[in-house]
This record gives sequence, C-alpha cells and structure tokens, in this order.
Amino acid sequence: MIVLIFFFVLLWNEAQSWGVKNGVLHNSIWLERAAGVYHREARAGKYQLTYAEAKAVCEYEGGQLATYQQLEAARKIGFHVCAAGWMAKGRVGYPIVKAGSSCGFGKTGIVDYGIRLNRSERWDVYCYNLHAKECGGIFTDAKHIFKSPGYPNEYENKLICYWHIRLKYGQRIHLQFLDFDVEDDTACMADFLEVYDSYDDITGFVGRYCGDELPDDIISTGNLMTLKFLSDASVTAGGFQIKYVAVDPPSKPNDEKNATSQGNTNFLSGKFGIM
Amino acid sequence: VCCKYLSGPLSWGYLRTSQSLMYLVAGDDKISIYSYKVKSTITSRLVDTMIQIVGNCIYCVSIREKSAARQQYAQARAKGKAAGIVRSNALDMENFKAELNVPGGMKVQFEIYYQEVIRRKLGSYEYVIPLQPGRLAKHLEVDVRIIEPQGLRYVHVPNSLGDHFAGITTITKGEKKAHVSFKPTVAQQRKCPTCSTTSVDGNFVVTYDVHRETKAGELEIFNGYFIHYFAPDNLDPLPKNILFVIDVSGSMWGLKMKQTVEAMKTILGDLRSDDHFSIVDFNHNVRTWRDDLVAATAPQKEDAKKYIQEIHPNGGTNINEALLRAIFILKEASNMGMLDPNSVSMIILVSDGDPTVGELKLTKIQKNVKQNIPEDVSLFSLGIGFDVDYDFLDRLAHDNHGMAQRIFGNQETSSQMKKFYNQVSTPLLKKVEFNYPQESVSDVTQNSFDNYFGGSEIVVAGKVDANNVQHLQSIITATSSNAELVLETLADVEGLDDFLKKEPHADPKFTEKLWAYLTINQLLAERNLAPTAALKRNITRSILQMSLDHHIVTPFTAMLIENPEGNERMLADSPQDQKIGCCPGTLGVASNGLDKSIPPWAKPTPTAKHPLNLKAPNVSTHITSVDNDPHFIIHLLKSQENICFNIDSEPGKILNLVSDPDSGIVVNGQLIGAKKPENKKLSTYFGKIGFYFKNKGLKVEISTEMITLKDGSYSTALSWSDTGSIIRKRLLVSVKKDRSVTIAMDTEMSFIVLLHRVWKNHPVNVDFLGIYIPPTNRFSPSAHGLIGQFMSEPEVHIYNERPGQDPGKPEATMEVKGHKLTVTSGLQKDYRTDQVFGTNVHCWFVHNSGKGFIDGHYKDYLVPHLYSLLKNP
Repeated sequence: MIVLIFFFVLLWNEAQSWGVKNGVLHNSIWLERAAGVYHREARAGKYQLTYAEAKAVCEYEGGQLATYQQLEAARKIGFHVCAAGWMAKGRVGYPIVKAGSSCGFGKTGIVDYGIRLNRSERWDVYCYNLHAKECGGIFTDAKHIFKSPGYPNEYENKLICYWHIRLKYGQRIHLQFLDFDVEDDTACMADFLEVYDSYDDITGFVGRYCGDELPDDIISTGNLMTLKFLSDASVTAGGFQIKYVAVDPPSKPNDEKNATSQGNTNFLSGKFGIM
Repeated sequence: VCCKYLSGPLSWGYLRTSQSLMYLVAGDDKISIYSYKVKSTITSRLVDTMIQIVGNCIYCVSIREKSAARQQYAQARAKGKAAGIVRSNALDMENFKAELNVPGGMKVQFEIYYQEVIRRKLGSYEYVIPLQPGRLAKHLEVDVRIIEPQGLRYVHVPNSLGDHFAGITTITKGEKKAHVSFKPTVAQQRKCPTCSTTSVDGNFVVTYDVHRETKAGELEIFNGYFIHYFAPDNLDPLPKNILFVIDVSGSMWGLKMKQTVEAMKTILGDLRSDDHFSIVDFNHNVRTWRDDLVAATAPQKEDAKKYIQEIHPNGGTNINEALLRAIFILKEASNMGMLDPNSVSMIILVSDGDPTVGELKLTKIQKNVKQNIPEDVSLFSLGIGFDVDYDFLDRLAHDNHGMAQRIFGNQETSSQMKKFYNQVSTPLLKKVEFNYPQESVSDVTQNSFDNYFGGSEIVVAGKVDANNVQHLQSIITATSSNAELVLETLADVEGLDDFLKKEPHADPKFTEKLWAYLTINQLLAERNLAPTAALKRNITRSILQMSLDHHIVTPFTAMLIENPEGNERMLADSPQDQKIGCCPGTLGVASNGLDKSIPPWAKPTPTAKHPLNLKAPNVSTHITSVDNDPHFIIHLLKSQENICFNIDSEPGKILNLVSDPDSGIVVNGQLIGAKKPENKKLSTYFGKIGFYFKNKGLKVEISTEMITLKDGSYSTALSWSDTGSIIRKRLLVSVKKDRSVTIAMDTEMSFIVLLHRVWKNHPVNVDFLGIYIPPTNRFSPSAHGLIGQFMSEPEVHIYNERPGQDPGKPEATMEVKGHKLTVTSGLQKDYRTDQVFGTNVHCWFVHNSGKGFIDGHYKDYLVPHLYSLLKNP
C-alpha cells in the first residue's frame, strides 16, 4: 500500500500571531476544542475506529466529521492534537500548532495522510459540532460579532460564558456594544458581563456591566481580551450583541500614547480602570 | 516624609479584627500630591473605615447607599470641589487610595481606621499589614496590640520583609495581651549602606493563636450579641471516602501534569489507613484506577502513585462523565455497606478547563451532578491555570457542599494543591449543629455545618436578650469519629463586661459588627441563589439596611468622605468584582501533628457515664453542665459521708425510692429518656414522681407539666407557672413558680422536688425532675426503696485512699453491708440553691448502679405503678 503524505506547512510566525502578557506566553494554550472541532478516540483506546465508526461517533454526539478546512481553522487558533483521525470524505490527518520532535515531523500545520482508500483502517476521529456549547468561544478573526446565548431571545438563568479574543501581535481590539440588556442591579451583583484586558479573568479587569445602558466602546492595550458573562438563579433580560474589530498598530508608535478618552471610547492604557 | 503605621492603640485584636492608623506627614518636600494605598483582602473584609486627613480640616466618613453617594460626589465634582477619589477595585484586595493637594511645606496627617475580620487558617490567626512606603522614612513604625480574653498561646512575627530586618521586631507577650513593635531606623531601612532606596517593601505579618480550653468553643457575649468561636482539636479525624477526579486531557500536558503528579503523590501518601479512595482520570474517555473504593493501605497507595505517574495527558475533557462515574463509585460503595457510617465522602475534581467532549452545556452538567450526587457528598474543585472557566468549577463546588480554588499554573501549582487539600483532608466532625435557646436568642447566623475540618474555626453569632437572661447556654451536636457528641457551654451574659470595660482599646460594638459582617456575607450568598425577583429585592433591602446601620462597605454601599464644610468630597466604592467568601468558618488548614490520643470527653470510656467523672466545673463563667440522669446522693448522718451511685435504666420504667409500709408512704419515680443518645447512651431522667400517703389516702403526682393532688375521687391540680399551695388533710403541697414543689406532712416529713427546665427545642435534653429528701425524715425501720433503705444507716468504713486512674479522682475501699467495694472520689451537684450551676457536694461514687451498696440489684426496685409499694423488700 502506498501512503501518500502531504505536508501542508503553513508558515507560522509566532511573534506575529501570539501575545506575550505578564510573562505568560499565550501560545502555550493548546486547545482541546476550537471553532467547533474536537478530537475523539474509541473507548478502547487510540486508533480503534474505522471510518464508519468514526462517523457514527460524531453523529451520536449531534455533530459530523470535521472537514479539512474546519480542522485547519481550529488549528489556527491553537487546536493541537498528536493523533491522526478521520475527517470528512475519508481523509486522515492531525493538527500541529507547535513543532516538536515526537509529533508532526518537526513541522507545524495539518499533517495530512490524504484520503484513505481502505476505510477499514483504524484511526481516531475529528468531529465538528459548533452548537454543542451554550456560549463562549475563541475568536481570532479581524472582526466578529458575538451574542449572548439565545439572542435576540432572552438569555437563561445560571449561565457561565467565556469569550476570548486573540488577534495578531501588535493589533488592538476595538470592542463595540451594539445592543445591551442585562438584569439591572446595584453593583451588577446579579447578572453581569465583565471585560478583561488580558487572556484570562484575573488580570486587566476593565469593568463589570449590567442594565440597559449601552456601555462605551473599549479599546484594548494588547492583542488579547476576555469577556465573561454570568447570570444568577433568577430574572433574565434581552441579552447583548457585541462587535469587535482589529485596530492595526499605528504607523507612528507615539500617536496614541497617553490617549485616555476620545469621544465615548475608552482606551485602556496600561493598568488603568474605567470609573 | 514620615510614615507611621499604627495598628495598636486602636486595635481590637480581641475581635480578631484590626485597625490601622497611618500618618503620612509631608514635610518640606516640593511634591504636593500624596497617595497612600491600604490593602486588605476581601475575604477578611473591612467592617468600618474612617479616613482622617489632618491639614486644615478633618474629613468625615459616612456610608451611603451607592447611587446616593455617587450622586453627591458627582455634584461636588461638577462644582470642582471633589478632592479626590478613594476607590477599591482590585479583585481580591481592597485598595483605598486618597489623592489630595497639599501645599508645599504644609503638614498633612493621613489616618485610616479600618477593621477587618481575621479568620483562623493553618491553625492560626494571621494579620497582614502591607508596608510599602516607597521611600526612606525618618520615622517608620508598626505597632500591633493584640487583646484576647481567652489567652494567647503564641505570637509569632515571621521575617516576611526579609532577613535584613531580623531582630528589629520586639514582641512583648502577656497572658491575654501582646504588643509587637517594628521600628527600623533610616539606616536599617536602606537597601545598602549608600542606597537612598528603601528595602521596606512587602507585608508585615503577625500570626498568633489563642488557648482553647473548652471543647465546646468560646461563647463570648457582649452588648446584646454573642459570638461563638468553635475550633476543637484533639479529635480523631473521621475516616474519609475520597475520589480524586483528575483531568488528563491534552491541555494538562507539561508543567501542569508534572505538578499535579507531584502533588498527588504527597496527597496519596498522606491518606490515613482508615480512609478509602480511588482515582478517576479522564480525558474524552473516563478511566479508573480501581472500580471500587479501596482501603488506603501502603501497597494500594504505592500502586495508585505509580498509576498517576504513568499518565500521559492527551485528548479532550469529559467532565460530565467523569463526575458521574465518581458519584457512581461512591454510591455503589454506600449501597454495599462498605462505608463507615461516621465517614465523610468527598470528590476532589482537578481540572484545567471547560468541557470539550460529551455534555458541553455547563448548566446541564451542573444539573446532572446535582441530581445524582448523594446529599452527604461534598465536591471540591481545583481549577488549574489562568485559562479555566473557573466560575463553572466554583458553582459546581458550591452547589454540592464544597468549595473551589483556583490554582495558578506555574511552579507553585504542586504546593498550592497540597495546601488546598490539607484544608479538607482532616474532617474532625460532621453534621455540626449549634443550638441556642429560642426564647433568649434571635437572628442567629448560619448554625449548621456539613463538616468541620481541623485547623479551621467555625464562628456563629446572634442577638441575645441580655435584659432577661443571665446565662446563655449553647449545645453543639456533631458526629465525631467514635461518638455522637453533645457539647454544652454556659456563659454568663455579663461575663466579659469587666474585662472589656477595663480595656480601652476594645470596641464596645465588636460583637455587633462581627454579627453584621457574618449576616451580610450570608445574605450575599443567598441572593445569588434567589429563585425569584421579589426575593432578590427583599434580600437586597436587608443587605442595604444592615450596611447602613452597621457602617459596612458592601457592594450596595459606598463611602462618602467630606470635610466639615461639605465643600470637598471623596468617594470610596466597594470593589466591582465581589468574590464572596463561602461557608464561613468551615475551612482552614489542618494543623499538623494531630494528637492521636482521644480526649476523655470525646470517647465513651467505661466510666464516662458516671457523673462523678465529670470534671469539676471551672471557677470561670464557663462551665460544662452535667446531665442529671438519675443519680443518687445519700448523705450518711453518722459517718458524715456522702455516697453516690447512678442508675441506668430505660424510659418508662418506674423506680421505687421510698417504700415504708409502716408509715404508709410510697415515693416512686418514672423515667423518661433524652431526645437522643449521647455518646451512644441514652440518658434517663425522672419525668414523673408519685407520692402515696396511704394513711391519708392522698396521692400526689408531680410531672414536668403540672402537680396533681388526688384524694379518692377529688382531684386538684397546680401549675408550674404559678406560685401557690394547697393543704389537704394536713398535707402541704407548695409550688414555687418554675422551680420546686415542697411536700410537707405534719412537720415530720418533707420532700422537695426540683424542676429542671431546658429550653424549647433543645436538641437533646428534656425537662426533668429531681427529688431531695432530708435525712431528718422519720421513716419507720421497715422503710425500704432505693433511698428509704438508708434511713436506718448502714455501717460504712472507707479506707485505703489511693490515687485512681484519673489523677484528680482518688479511689478508696469501702466496706458496707459485708461487701468490699472500690469507690471513686468525686463531686456531685446539688441544685437546691443554684438551679443552673448547682453547688458541688463531695461524695464517694459506687460503680455498677450502686451494686453492693444498695440491697440486691437495682432491678429489684422496679415497680409496676406510680403508687406501688415495693414488694418483698
């Protein structure tokens, strides 16, 4: 049997794509699930699924086999798995984000074994199911609109959603609230949306929002941002719709230094909280 | 510039709260803006804050409803009169920062007063003062005064600022007070002899702990509020059934897994031999090390360590299935009767991320776990790393009697995990309930706790009706490793008044403030779970009202700072992100080196049921009250000795006390049982006492409810709630309201029956009666019965007094009625004069229900009816 191996090597300039913040290199986050794609192996262990079984596994969980494009999209935001699995149309491969000696032949990209002629071969599987989660996700696109779960219907009680935005190094994130209605409460103790100027919900706290007043625009200091939405056990509201766009680094680096406020936009400069 | 940190003259170490005073004096510096930050952790949140800036003016601080305060501040700002903003916005720290213009050359004194609650952790109280003057100070001083009426066990100041400052701190420790002073000179502050920068940069830390004499905790009452501190140690840990559920998905790869393995090896090594455990490791699949719980024997632990070490993380995260599997294993073990009924079951989830495989909806997973997990299983979760959906793990834990902790994924992971585990690895008690008399206590904070872990402290507070009660009794019921514990404390309502009135640094409102602090924290937690909008609104109203009443900065209030003219205003908001501490007092860090010996009070020793083995009550206001299951004190007139014995029988049984066929007098007592067993033994008391005066045809029945006199078909009743008396056929029955009944016949005979009332809904005790018969009563020589037989006094010879098993209780040999008995010296209570505390009577205790001292066996004294004569004495 002849095995055709294609190498799709995408040049990956780490410094351009990932952020370094507070000493934490954010490309160290390897995602187990990204852009709706996840990896599955048989209960019996590694490389035990035929193509038909692989398909059944994904469909059983309400999804389908991931396409090569879907796997690549996931890989681009950090989906890294060291195990070959079935994709749609009988293809087999695996996504490598960080080059290592033990996996992916020292290259990054999708290690593609091609379309298999023998569908009884046993591999793992890559499934695609975008709607399994209630909310949250990781965005790397230059712009995107995301919504509270169920929007434009009311969100539900007891929700926990995390959105992470990760752009190219040097870019900043301009966050704009298109619609906003979250249970109003003193100090936003009930339901709230929190914005962090970092990749986690520990550092860079920007603000906590609730009520039906549209919050001001927010521009990040770096290329990373985290939004967190929590609802408590009672009272819901309309929800929200938020848009972000990447702001490219200014040609003159000093242009925006010390900028604090322009119109109703909050520029986050360093460790500075919004009143 | 001169800084002075004073945590002293104003401190209330007593309340285990603290207060700081800070002076910042601007000298000739040209700089005209000063800012100073005070940090305090939210979990030990401040109760009250006060800032004084003394220049031309003193600012006054008030707590206002948040929007009102903001509005007033906004008005001032609009007029250009806002002096600055004092804000706190850090996540787990409370930062106060004040900025104001200071004309050059002017002296400014900046004082901040705040109070924070210090929680016991790691077996000690820790007080932290952040010390970051940022420059050399001519005068830098930290002055801490600790006042603890319980007495200080130790005071320790670790070298937290660096070895540079070793030996500079002075500690003066007295019995109840301590003084810590840290006063580095300018030269000592310098980083190096020629440096102009300060090496003072960090936290000044004082740790201490107090003496804990009484096992039932310290019940402190002052100004109408009580605080009950409960931190028993010297208990054997309860066995635990523990399931480690460990995430081994791909994202755990590398340092996180390495650190987890390292921590798990220590944790597994620390399991005790009576613990049961297993490991569930999961990625997208769920594996188990053992399908059942196994005993933590050395070989099993070794095998488990090996198993952990060989895990290579990869794949997705199926939290849902892993938790359900863990629950299944625990349930199976429980169904098969494998689990010790006294054991504590827990699941420890270690994960670094949100679910990626299987059930992904967080709300659904929460629901699944909640539906399946048994009521008595606690779920603790550890979130490793920054990028975890920590709120999910947190809700999961709080939903299921546990708590969560975020572990930052770095080199420290392993030690952070071990530290967290130590907090829950030593369950000492379960089902801990604090009971107080409903009549005199109200607004009690959380008083029922699933578990008490070694090294921590439970604090319960409430209001006391101090005007109408003299004593407050508390009863704690709990399950320990070998007994159902019932711990009682009795505290004098005014017991602390003297000590505190002499103590100028003690805040008269400390009990009230601590109560308010605990209550508000509870309300905040309740609010999150409120199922309806209306309920949420009500809780909000209560929180706001309490915050205003007690001057507490909460999420609903803000602090407004004004100068007397009202033309300069500052505002202090509470932090935006309020992480509310959970489960007040249930957790802490286990103290190491637990004493393995079982204290006598925790273990039902063969003699523990005998009242004589109870400790003599302390002379202090706190006493351990005794249970009064029928015990007898016989006073022998001739030999001037008291002999005691105890009868353990069953509820419902009737014991004959006096049976005198010649004078026609019968006294019988019917037993009732306590509400539940204590130390596996159900106490019995006299619930009813019957007197039969045959020659007069009179019967008197005294129960804990009423007193009835019968004369043939005539019957009259008296109530315990009134003082009153009746005389019939020269028999006097006289009732002293809620205290006693005296029965006197022709001045020749008298009997006193005392009523012991316990408070309503007391968890264990019931109302009961005691009977006192003066030895001067003239019974006939044919009198018998448990008491009657001693009316003709037997010859008693007590000799060979010697030390007993318990050094405080000598033994002796007693010769009586032809028997040689070993008797134990002890104290017994006579309640005639003091119905609460009783007075101590010395007596010799005869073991085994008075065997040898009484004629025959105690069972010979059982009679069928309340007025039966004893047959064949």
